[in-house]
Amino acid sequence: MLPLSPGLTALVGENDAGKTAIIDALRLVLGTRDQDVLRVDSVDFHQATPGGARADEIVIRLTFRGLTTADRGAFAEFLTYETIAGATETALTVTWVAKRNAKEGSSRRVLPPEWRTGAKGDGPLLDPGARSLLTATYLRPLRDAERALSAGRGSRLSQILQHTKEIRETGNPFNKLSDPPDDPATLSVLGLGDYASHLFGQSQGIKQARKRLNDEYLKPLSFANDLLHARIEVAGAQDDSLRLRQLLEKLELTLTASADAESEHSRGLGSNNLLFMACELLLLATESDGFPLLLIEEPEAHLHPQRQLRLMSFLQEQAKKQRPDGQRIQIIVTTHSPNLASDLQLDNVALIEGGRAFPLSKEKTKLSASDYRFLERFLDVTKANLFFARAVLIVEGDAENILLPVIARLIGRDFHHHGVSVVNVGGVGLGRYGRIFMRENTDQDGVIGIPVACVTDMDVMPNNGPWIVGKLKDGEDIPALPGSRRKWRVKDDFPGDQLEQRRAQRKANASGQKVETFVANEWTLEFDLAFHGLSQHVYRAGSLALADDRLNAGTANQAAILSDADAAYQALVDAGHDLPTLALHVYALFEADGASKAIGAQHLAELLEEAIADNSLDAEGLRALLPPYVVAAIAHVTGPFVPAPVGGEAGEPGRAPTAAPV
Amino acid sequence: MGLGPDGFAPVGDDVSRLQAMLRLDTVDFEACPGSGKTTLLVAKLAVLAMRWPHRQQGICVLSHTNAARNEISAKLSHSAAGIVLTRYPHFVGTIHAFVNEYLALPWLRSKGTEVRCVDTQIALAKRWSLLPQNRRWALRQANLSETCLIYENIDYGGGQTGNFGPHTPTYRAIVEARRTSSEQGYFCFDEMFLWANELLDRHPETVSTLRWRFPLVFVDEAQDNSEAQSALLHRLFCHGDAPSRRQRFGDSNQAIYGSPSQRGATSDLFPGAVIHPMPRSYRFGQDLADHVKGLGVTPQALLGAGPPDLLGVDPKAPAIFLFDDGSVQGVLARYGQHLLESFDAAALEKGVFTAVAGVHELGKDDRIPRALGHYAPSYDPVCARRESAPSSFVQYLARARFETAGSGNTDRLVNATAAALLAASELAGGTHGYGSRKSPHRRVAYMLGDSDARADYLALQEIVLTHQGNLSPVIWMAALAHVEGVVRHLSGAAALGGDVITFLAPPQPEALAEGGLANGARSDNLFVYPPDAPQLRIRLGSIHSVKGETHTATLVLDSFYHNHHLSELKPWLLGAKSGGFSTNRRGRQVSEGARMHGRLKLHYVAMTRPTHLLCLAMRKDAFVEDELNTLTNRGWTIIDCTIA
Repeated sequence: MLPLSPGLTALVGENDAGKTAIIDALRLVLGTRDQDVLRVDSVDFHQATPGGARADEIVIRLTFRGLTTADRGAFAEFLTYETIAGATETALTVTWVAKRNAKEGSSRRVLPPEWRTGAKGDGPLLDPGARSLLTATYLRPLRDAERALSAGRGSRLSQILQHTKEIRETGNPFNKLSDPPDDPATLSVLGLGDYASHLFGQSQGIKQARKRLNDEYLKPLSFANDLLHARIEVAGAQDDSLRLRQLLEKLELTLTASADAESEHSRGLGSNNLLFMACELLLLATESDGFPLLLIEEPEAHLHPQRQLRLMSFLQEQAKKQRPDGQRIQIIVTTHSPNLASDLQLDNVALIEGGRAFPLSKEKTKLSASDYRFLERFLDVTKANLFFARAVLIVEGDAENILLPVIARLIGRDFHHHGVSVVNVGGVGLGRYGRIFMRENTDQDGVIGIPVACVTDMDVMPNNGPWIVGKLKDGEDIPALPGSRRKWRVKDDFPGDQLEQRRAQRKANASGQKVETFVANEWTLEFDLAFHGLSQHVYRAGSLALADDRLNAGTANQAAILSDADAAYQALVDAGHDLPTLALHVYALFEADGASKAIGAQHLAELLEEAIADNSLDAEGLRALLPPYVVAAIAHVTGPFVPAPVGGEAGEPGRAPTAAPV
Repeated sequence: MGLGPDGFAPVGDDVSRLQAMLRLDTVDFEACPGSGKTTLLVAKLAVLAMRWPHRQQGICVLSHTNAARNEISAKLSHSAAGIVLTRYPHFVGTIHAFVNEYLALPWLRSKGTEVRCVDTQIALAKRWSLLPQNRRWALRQANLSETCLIYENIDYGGGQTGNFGPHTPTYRAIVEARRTSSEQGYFCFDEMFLWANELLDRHPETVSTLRWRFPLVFVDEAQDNSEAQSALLHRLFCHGDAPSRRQRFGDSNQAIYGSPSQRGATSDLFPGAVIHPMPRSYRFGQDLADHVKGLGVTPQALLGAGPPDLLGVDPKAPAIFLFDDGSVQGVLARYGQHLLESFDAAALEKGVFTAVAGVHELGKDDRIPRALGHYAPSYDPVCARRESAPSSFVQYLARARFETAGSGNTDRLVNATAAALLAASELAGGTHGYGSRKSPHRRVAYMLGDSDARADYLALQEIVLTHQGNLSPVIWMAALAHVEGVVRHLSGAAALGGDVITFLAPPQPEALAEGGLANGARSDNLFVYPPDAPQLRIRLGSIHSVKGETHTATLVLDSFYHNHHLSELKPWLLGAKSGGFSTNRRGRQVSEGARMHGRLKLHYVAMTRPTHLLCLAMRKDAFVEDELNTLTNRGWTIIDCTIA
């Protein structure tokens, strides 16, 4: 069951998730206004396993709520009266059932579907007349807007214009029995057409041609008392609406750059697409009956990002407008565009995953009201990627954003290959993004099958850290808490099991279902990398980051800097620091000396790539040197490492690493 | 439409018919017999349909009986615009069907009740079988029938429970049976009004909803509305703000009910305040009009503008057939003889000839003539009763034959067969959803799907159609295997129980029917005359069954309810009395009383059917010589059946 809120709903999700299946279901039940009919085929019936038996029937059930008096009247015999918590509501439920024709050798593979009503499909069949009131407008993906808007028999444009009030009601009809109108501008569209047809009949050229035909050809062929006479006139149907349609089919809609009607400049696919959608909306908004549902697959087709955003806000505006009959247009779009998705309110998004739909509206997710407000502000285009991923890694900084994909690739877990989106939320709201993927009621909704890993720092430094990384000068004491405004924490701030409590709290921020938060084992990514086995690599990367400007300017050379770095690192090793202290000294390059973490990450990534390339490190070896929380996070989004890494000594903290020759 | 090109042209300075056509306000049309009210209604509907601009709003046409609904639908289907009216968003149907479709069924479905069957007969049978043996015995002892199981409140209370008060165990058992069967989805017709009213109580907005859907409501035969119907329709469409426009058609002089226990409306009476009189009858001439108008409870100034010149014969003088105990079974033959003498062959071929009686079921009392059966012993009342379901497979077919009446169309027979199969399956314990608009045939075909029983079904239909529904006992035995095959499949029952076997009883053997044949009457209630070389067919039925019909000739047979009807009406026939009220010596108006009013209305209906010839059949000993002379002077022909 997919609850839809009024107004706009966007179905988002990776390919093959089932977005189009939802649109197709709506098309099957409601029917569409274009003349294309979607038919069910025997392959549409569910097959639990490949080669297994197919299901015998397809059942699609739609429930309409928030009915107006007119709706209730129109569907009075089909309604269901509901009492929910004392409040009464009236709903229309339509159950569409298609049965597979089990008979062998029958050319009809699917029996004609039925439209049943009633909460349990136990009501009367929905009458075709009533069904036509529900018909939706459907814009297919990769539509050819230009063709739809060009002239021709049965053109969509003529269909749309024919139902437009202005076309039908402006101007006077033409009466050929009275005098010609003084001003043809007072005529209606149909009147103009009739007037033109009339003038054709009056044309001298046509009259002369007819005279010649009659006099020179027909007369010699006729009997004296039975003259054959030819008449030439514009073929005209009797029925007003048919004549109007024939007239409108001659029209073509094109876009021009200026208001100058003569301009021949034609616009591209994208603009025509906008025009097409505008036309359909015009029709929907002017109608005074029926259910105004607009289904658009990939509205972003052929549109550049700015246009996409404008289109989205326009659609959202349209969905808010009330029609004369009290209805509002309901719009359902499917999209692969992070641009579109980012401009939507979460409330309007339904995430489609594994053939199931998960609306992200309030009450449905673990998000609080403030989360929704926060995400509305900060869920931008880059972050909107998370709607289209097979797995999501949410990180707090640029360093993680740069490093983790590279590390994953180097240990054989290419994020591109696994369809993992890395979303950098920049230090705030990590858990809020994670909770997008957590359902409030899993009994009812199930679980979103997209693994989400939130990677965050522990933010607690070793007790001797403050002096090494420059938080305190030598001789200063750690300011007491409370009473100080220091933001940083040392392990001594957390006596007893409080440190583990802090870790559990951070983890609990967004963990559960397929979402898990991975907290740094020690302090931060860089510190942990140094601490767990990559201290020399991190030191070299930090050194390169400090020299980055000079390297870019060409005033320093990488080999020299690296050799200096190795010397300095060897000095630290030689000083006999214990492991945390060594890691602190490595990390001080960033924390105290001011090396950019982002630039350092870039250099570290390059260094690790080189190490793998020249075989000084292999994937297994690198994995053993990584902090466990990083490996666990990668495993969470790409699948467990099998066989599970045997607790190799290389990964064990507590053993002072030796400088590796590079 | 049968009105001719000038159907709505003014007659003299009378433009009432055109006005009736044009007006669209809330009004009651008091339409005399043969005034063409159904024709007017249909013409009006057709014109409206042509210009109806709404896709979501419709016209609601309510009739009282299925027969009237069928007549309106059939007439509408003559024009393309009319056909539209029989479909969404419009409604043409009985009040019961309307209440079910728009109120009671949606509401019961919403409450989680799967409505399987709305039929008083079936529901009561279910309920009776739910009662414990000792309670059934107690009810029988107290002279209570199954009808005590009909409830009048939504808590399953009320109803005719005799002396069993709410504190008694029998009453509680009754309520329990009512509740259980209702929860299983079996309801009596009138109970649906209770549920409809509950919906309106709980969801008052439904009223505005339905007024929006049906801004224009027509009620045909409005005089026959019961209080429950009248009150509900008033609540739905008239009471309070923004009422729908309602036009009622009817004739208060023709208000007759299905059974003596039924009562007319006591609120929102017809006709109401705004009346459009339609006193011009296109059915019969002034002569007949003068003979019958005195029988109206509120006599209307009938104008006889008929009969239509379709048969090419003039109206005949009315006749009275007099009989005694010995000659009662000869009356129909004498009537046939009189018809042969009165009409030429062409008229006999084209005309519609009937014989009707106020009472058509024989009772215990043998006061001849009690009912139609005294005139035609083989007359089968069930076949003619339109409102209740037939009680056997064979009766389903007989009724379909009766309704098809030689038209050659197969739909009634096919659907009657299917409906009978569904009914049999219900008896065998099967449950079939109710409320689908599908025809019985399509429902059965759908339920059978590709099963083996489908072949049985098709074979059965083949047999029914080959014999045009008239199955001899031999043929029936051949068909029975197919019937049972289908019923077993539909119901899922392995063995078919006693109820089903009774339902599937074979038709009357030839030997028995032969006695009937000698009399010319058959199980389809047609009397052919002369029996050896038939030249005409006389349809037999109750007065109720011919309501709204037009006949060439109608024979009204005397019958008995508390007294002999026509004998009681003698003062009106003799011209001594007129109308249902008289003025006494002190100048005050005196009513004839309810029973007499009922008699007047019933026989006003019967006597206003014919276009050409009205006949009555009465006991000879009801009259003295002087009275017969008076009748002769008033234009009646006296035919004495006691003289061979």
